[in-house]
Amino acid sequence: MKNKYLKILFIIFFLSLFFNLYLSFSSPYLNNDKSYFNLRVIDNIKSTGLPIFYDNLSYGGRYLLIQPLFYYIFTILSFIPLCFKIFPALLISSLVIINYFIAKEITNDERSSLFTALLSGFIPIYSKVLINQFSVYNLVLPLIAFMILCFIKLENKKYLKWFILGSFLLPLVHSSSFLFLFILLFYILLMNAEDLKLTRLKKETLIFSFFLIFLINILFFKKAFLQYGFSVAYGNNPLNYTFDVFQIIYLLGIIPLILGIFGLYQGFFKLKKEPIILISSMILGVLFLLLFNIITFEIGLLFLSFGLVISSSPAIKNLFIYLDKTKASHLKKSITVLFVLLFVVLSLIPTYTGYEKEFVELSDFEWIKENSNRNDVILTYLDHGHLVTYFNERQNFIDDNFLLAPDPHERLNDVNLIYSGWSYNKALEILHEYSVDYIYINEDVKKFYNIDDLEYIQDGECIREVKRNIYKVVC
Amino acid sequence: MENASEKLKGIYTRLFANKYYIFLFGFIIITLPSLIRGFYLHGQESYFYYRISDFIINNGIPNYDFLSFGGRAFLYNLGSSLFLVLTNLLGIGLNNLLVFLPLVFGFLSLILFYNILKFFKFSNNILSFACYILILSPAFLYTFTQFTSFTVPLFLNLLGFFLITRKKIIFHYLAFVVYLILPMFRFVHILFGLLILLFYFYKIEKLKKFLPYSAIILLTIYLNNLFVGFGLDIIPHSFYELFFDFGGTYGLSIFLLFLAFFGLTKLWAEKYKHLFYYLFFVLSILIIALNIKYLIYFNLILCILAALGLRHIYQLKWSSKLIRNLTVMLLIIGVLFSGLSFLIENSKKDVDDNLYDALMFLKSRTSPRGVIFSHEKYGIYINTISQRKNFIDFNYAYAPRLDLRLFYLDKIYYSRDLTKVLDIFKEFRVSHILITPEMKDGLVWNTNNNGLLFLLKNNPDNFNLIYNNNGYEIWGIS
Repeated sequence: MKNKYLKILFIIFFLSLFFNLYLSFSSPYLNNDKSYFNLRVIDNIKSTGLPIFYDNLSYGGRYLLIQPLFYYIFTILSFIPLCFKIFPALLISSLVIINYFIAKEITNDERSSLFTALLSGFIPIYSKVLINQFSVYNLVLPLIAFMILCFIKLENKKYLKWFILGSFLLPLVHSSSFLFLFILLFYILLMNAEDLKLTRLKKETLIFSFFLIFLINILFFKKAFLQYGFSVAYGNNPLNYTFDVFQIIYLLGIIPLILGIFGLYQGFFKLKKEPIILISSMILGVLFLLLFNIITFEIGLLFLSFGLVISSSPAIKNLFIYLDKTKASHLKKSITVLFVLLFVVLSLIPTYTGYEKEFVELSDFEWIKENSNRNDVILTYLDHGHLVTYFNERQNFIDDNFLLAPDPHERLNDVNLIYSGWSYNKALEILHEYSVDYIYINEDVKKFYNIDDLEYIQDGECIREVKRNIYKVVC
Repeated sequence: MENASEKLKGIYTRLFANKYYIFLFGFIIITLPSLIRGFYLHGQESYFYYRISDFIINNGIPNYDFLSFGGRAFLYNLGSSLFLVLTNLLGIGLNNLLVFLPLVFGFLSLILFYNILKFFKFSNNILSFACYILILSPAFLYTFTQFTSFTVPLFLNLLGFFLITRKKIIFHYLAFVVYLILPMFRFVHILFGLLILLFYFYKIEKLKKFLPYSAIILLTIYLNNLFVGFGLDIIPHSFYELFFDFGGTYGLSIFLLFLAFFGLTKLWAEKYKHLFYYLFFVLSILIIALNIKYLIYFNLILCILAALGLRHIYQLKWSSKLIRNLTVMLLIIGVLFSGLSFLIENSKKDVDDNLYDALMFLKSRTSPRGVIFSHEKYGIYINTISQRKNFIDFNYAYAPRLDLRLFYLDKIYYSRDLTKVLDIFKEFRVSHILITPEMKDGLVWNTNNNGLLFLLKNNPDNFNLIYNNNGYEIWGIS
């Protein structure tokens, strides 16, 4: 019996892996320019043994804060062909297995745990944030999920050791470990509020991991803290996020959203189970960080979706228990099929259709590399910043590494003025101020700024089109 | 085997708690920065006190300071300067005093702190922990690794309190003298003196004995206020400045706070028995909200609480010894880290050779009437090393047209409007501009064509580069 469920679990895992790999290999390029920044760091480790601490190509030269573990792991793996496509896909799919075991701890029910695993393999937000991306979140999310599983099973010494190891590794991977601190804080608050007693071991482990994660982060972010103070929490981020309720529902997936909320309600008010309180803490932690604009909208949704999927498990279990009690109990198989169908329509298809190949044609960057000087500055819009440094090996004007970057707010404003402004003189003033040599404008940029071309291009001679999509500043 | 290990642990604990080792450790940490950089003046405050004290020695107390903010009323708190002037009568030399006095006072303060705790019968463990934590706290290191406005009053406060705790009446008279001097310093120092005395007389002796001390302190505050005119010292500050780890110059270590939190929970176990301590604690937080300088004293209280907290954590019943040991280790590393970070960050604040050369160039090639425009960070150095007027420095209190200057400062840095910039320079009689590599590397600008840098490069008729060495530039305004 157990084998049967394990087999189904592995089928779901392989389905998810195949799905992720299929989408990843549908494009020769990785999605999200940040993937290329990560590749640059790995190239740097390969050649110097160290990550990039000072990036002389980003923003014309700036310091970087890098938590190195992710990069070192992938530097080791990089000798395996196609590793930047395969391993991220494997990591996303590993969530299927981890979430299955978490759900099993909550529900102690194979069927609902398997449905939870199925849901966690195909969430629409993955196609925006994880699939075909070489992103640190590919490692962070499974790691946090694994730590949650270990925390739930902490009384077992084996899991205690794993949790301690995870607490040590997580802050070495990414600053999302701060999110984990928030989860722990909310967890203690909720446990107290619900008058549930934490075991001594759990209390001790919480205290220990809190200090460990805090200390390692302080060590990494010392420079940033000294420069920005508490504002470091905002990461010097100049972007403002707008919330679109329908987009949120779409990205989270309708099934995890409805069942998740239902499961949270049941788990929190009726079952009062410790694991569900832990998951509620996670959701509260993410909502708190989102509310104060401390994490980006998409990353917030990614963690939120994870929490909702897990909290769906008691709802799924109760749904089947309820069915057993009704006259429709003989329709259980049909309802299972219906559930799978609903999953295909509301989770699988939106995840598939939500995936877009971000970079289709990057030959312009090859041209710039061949035709520009080594010290030239290339102005692109924010989402192409890392492509300039990776493909052109030239200085970019702006990219999304905002922390410790010089004046990202002003630069973002200036980029917007260059692309969507009307004044030739103003544009030239900005271009001269930053010594910009080339402007890159492709169809994505035009679509983003809702323009046909640079509006002021006819007003002077100093900005000339040297190739389609590329302008040169000649005087 | 276990016996040997226990024996070794005992020896180690005895060594750790030995007062001579504590003092030696304190001495090494306090003198370490000077040993590394050499026994020179360090930090803006040292240079400021050098200039003021030197001026008083040569000319008496003036009414007007010709150099700061292009010229301003001489409204400084004179406690530290007068102390230096009087001590200088011993013939040590002002420069030596400013270099060695913090080290001596730091060392003595540590001894006083130790003995005060001993008086209150703290156990050897708590006592030694508190001292080690104090030595490694950024606030203590800031006060005693260089001459600052806290160096003398913190020492005097500890000395006064130490003398009060002695039994012989002669010490009480000496304490009286110390508390007579204390009001020459800022109000925050007096406030701590008053609070700690109130605490002492309430808990240990009789409250009525507090009256003569409070009377003398309040009277001298009144007289000091009458002549110098300093009020209650309410200074606004950002929340993050309270913590060294988040960018505060002499803020608290965040791990010290964590430990102190555990110390408080230990006290709270006995509920209302320590009500007076809680009151003292809450009052201290309120004072910090009004004046961040009180952190220097709050740090002392937190060090004691942190030591209590550390022992409390260690003595709690843990289900896993491994986690207990790791947690204690982490907290100790956190405290160590803050101390070391402070020493490293503070070492970067020296006047390097290139800056010194540029300042000496200003001294030799510019007119004493002209004002030198630069970042606020260099204002004191322009006054002291170049002996020239600055546009702005860190002494904001009673500075002339401060708001306007701050407003113009921003305009000048980032404006490309030549006429406007020249008008401001004319209005404030700015004759030269000092630009350092740090200013071009994020302190003010991030690109070489930003605001004033653009104007300097593109207007040779108005600005001429008269000095350029390793990125340090001096521009004359014609």
